[in-house]
Amino acid sequence: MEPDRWKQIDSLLQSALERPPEAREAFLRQACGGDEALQSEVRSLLRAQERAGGFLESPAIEGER
Amino acid sequence: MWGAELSSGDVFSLKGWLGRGMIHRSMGMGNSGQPVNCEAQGPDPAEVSGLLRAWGDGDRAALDRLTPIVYDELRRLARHYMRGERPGHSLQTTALVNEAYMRLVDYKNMQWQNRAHFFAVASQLMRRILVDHARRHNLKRGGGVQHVSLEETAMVGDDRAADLVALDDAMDALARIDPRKVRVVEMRFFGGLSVEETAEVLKVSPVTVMRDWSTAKAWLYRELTGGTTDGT
Repeated sequence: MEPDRWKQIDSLLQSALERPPEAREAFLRQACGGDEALQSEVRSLLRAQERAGGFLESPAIEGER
Repeated sequence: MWGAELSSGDVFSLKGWLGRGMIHRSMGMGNSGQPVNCEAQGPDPAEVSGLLRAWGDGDRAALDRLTPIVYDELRRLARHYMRGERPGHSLQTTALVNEAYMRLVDYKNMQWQNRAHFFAVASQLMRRILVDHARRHNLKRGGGVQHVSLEETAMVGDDRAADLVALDDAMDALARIDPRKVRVVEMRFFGGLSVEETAEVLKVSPVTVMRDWSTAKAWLYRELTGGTTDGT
């Protein structure tokens, strides 16, 4: 992936996360300006972010007996 | 300085480095030729503290000398933890690294920034130690990783080994796109560093660390759960 493209994706993801969940889709549509691939990429990361929950939140090997 | 020196290149070079600790040591790491990792006589805390400060001041050679000492100690402690030889201890990476820090470093005379830097190098080594352990565990159980479970309770029990190996691979993939985010994950997940400590080591703001963390989590989670760009 091109570094500039990744920076754009990262930045859009963070901007979307600053908005309430119900406003994110509209924000993405407007911010991506018709770039479907970009919109789709950020949307999938948003979904992953919403589902990730406690993923990686406890340091490794915590809880092992 | 720090951020540049501790780039993902270091992560990968560590892979090649592991196993060469004995060579480093025979070139003068141990004082008086004693095994550095023996229970009774560890490395000289003043020497380790000096190396840590020198590394903090940008002396890259100090990091090269520090790394095998920290690695030996972490691996020794990790073995104890993994064999359950420390009943009653809470088994957390943070606790393990902290124990290594207290044993190796003249911690009463160190500043919190020195501690953060120690935890930063330890986090990379903990990643290697835990992932190597997990890969061996997988081999013993006969074969490749078929299934990756990533419930919120992941990293516990038998699934943990598979998860760690998959996570390690995903982190390598992310490092090719954005090495700093992988450093953030290493320090926070494998080293137990706080947001502020991570920011100190990487010489970025805490807000940047939190953003890196959330993007990295999303990216890795998607990678590990088989999500695609389309979100399917």
